Amino acid sequence: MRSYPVIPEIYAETTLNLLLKRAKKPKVHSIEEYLRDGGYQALEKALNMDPMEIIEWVDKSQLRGRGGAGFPTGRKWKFAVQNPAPRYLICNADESEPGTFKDRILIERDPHLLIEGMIISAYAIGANQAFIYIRGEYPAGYYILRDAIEEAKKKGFLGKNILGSGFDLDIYVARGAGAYICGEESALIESLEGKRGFPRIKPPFPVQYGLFGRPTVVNNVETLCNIPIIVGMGWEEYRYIGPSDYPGPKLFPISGKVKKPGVYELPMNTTLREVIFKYAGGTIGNKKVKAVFSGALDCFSADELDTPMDYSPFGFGGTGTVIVLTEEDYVVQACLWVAEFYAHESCGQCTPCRVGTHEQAILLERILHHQANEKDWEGFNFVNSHIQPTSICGLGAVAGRLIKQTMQKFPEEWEKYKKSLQVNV
Amino acid sequence: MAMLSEELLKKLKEHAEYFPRKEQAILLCLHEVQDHYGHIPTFAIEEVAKVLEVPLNHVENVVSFYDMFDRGEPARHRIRVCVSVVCNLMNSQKVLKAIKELLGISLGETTKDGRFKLIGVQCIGACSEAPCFMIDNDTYKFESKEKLNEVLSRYT
Repeated sequence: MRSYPVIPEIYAETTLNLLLKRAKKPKVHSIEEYLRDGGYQALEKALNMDPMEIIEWVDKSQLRGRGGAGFPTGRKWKFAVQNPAPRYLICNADESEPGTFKDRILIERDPHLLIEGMIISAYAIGANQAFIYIRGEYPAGYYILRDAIEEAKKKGFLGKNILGSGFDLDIYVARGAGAYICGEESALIESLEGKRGFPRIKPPFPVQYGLFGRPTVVNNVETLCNIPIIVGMGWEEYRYIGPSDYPGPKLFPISGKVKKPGVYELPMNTTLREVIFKYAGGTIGNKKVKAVFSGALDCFSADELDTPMDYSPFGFGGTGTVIVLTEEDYVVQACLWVAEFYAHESCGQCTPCRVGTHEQAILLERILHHQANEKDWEGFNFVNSHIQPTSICGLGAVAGRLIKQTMQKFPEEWEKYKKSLQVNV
Repeated sequence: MAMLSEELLKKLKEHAEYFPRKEQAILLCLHEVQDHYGHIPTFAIEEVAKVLEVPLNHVENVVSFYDMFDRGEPARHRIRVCVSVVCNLMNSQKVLKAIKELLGISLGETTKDGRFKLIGVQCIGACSEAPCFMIDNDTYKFESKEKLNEVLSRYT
């Protein structure tokens, strides 16, 4: 086996032994190891089923997309198959949200789980070509996937007439090059066509007009890794994993001020408190938790640690990302880092986001350094609330969200900056 | 005009034949060029356009969009230090400080011998290992200045 680029040993733990059954061990699992563990048996089962039946199973499993939006996977597939072939399947492996590093361990340690999931999914939606778009910062993952696809081809799981079923599939791996926006599905499609990653105006959605204008399903890595599990055990049994309204395993990447940061596979309704204290060993130096950021998206205060992971308005949805800040950290300072992230990653296509995210970061920096006046404060609040309704895609829609939440949840932290505003001259 | 080596040209042509459509290989080709030259030189953009059968300005347009591609001065290795939320919380400033002390460069600068260029980047997806950084294709957790020095010595 060739040697891959260096990757740090990310800690992983599981209570469910489904997604991380192999990936909890920090090594690349070969196709032989995967087969010994019962790998590709779900594919054999699936190829003996009617594609529509698989879609029905996935729908009934209540699997929701694990890339952040939580859209029901079965429903997405149903929309896609209403439109005529050729159709495409794309695996979104452009994980780039701050604090999110769950997909990488599935790719780097258990690539065949993803590949099996993709073959079954492509068969279900009737796609003969599938793509994996992996972010540029994961070069090891790129080479691991290229090799794993070759292994799968040699065993007859990919290529022409897979396992004698008459179904053909090729999987291609594309690399990104440092653009967060390419995780947005329509920007990803543009990038995969060889262009700048500018999001498209929706509708039409990718299931109607996707890659090269054809119906396209874009699913996250973790979502696709659930497919062999659902087909393998059947949707009825899958529904018993975790809570009945949000079934299935979930990966939680946890980082920041905790003793045991890493990726944890837990049931969906696990609360922030459980993730931090029961699994990640509590905070460094046993400091008090001040805030939790779920990526660059939402902010939770210490009073909200009983919030469970789910996709209801009361849960912490998204990708399951948990970033822990303690009493030693400054929320407004952290907001500046978040603002800088959005300013850096705005693709520049639409004016509200291109100008707004930069203005937001510049004004916040001034406020943080006590150099702002009242006009700056007004401008900051104006920009913060006006990027959202006027932007083309989701990036602009959320660029001000976490900051606004911290103003509601940590008014005392903001107050001291407000007090130091210079009076207009 | 400078010419691409036979070997590099062969790799670009392989990438061009890999996907269903040639133009899809543009990012793979540009990664290949940058790994080879340490930046994206103008003559290579012309070659990529030829190999992929796309207009020159299309390649230039794509290069300028993606952060990882560098049209500036070449460097043999690039150090990408994560300055995103989690790494900042875990003090990525100490990584920048150690690099400044060892190599004498700050963000955006290149060592005089062209060996290293230092770049600040947003999340590289290794947040449990924060503060973390990449050198070329390799990802590392920052442990100490001494350990960093040892890692740097592997890149000549």
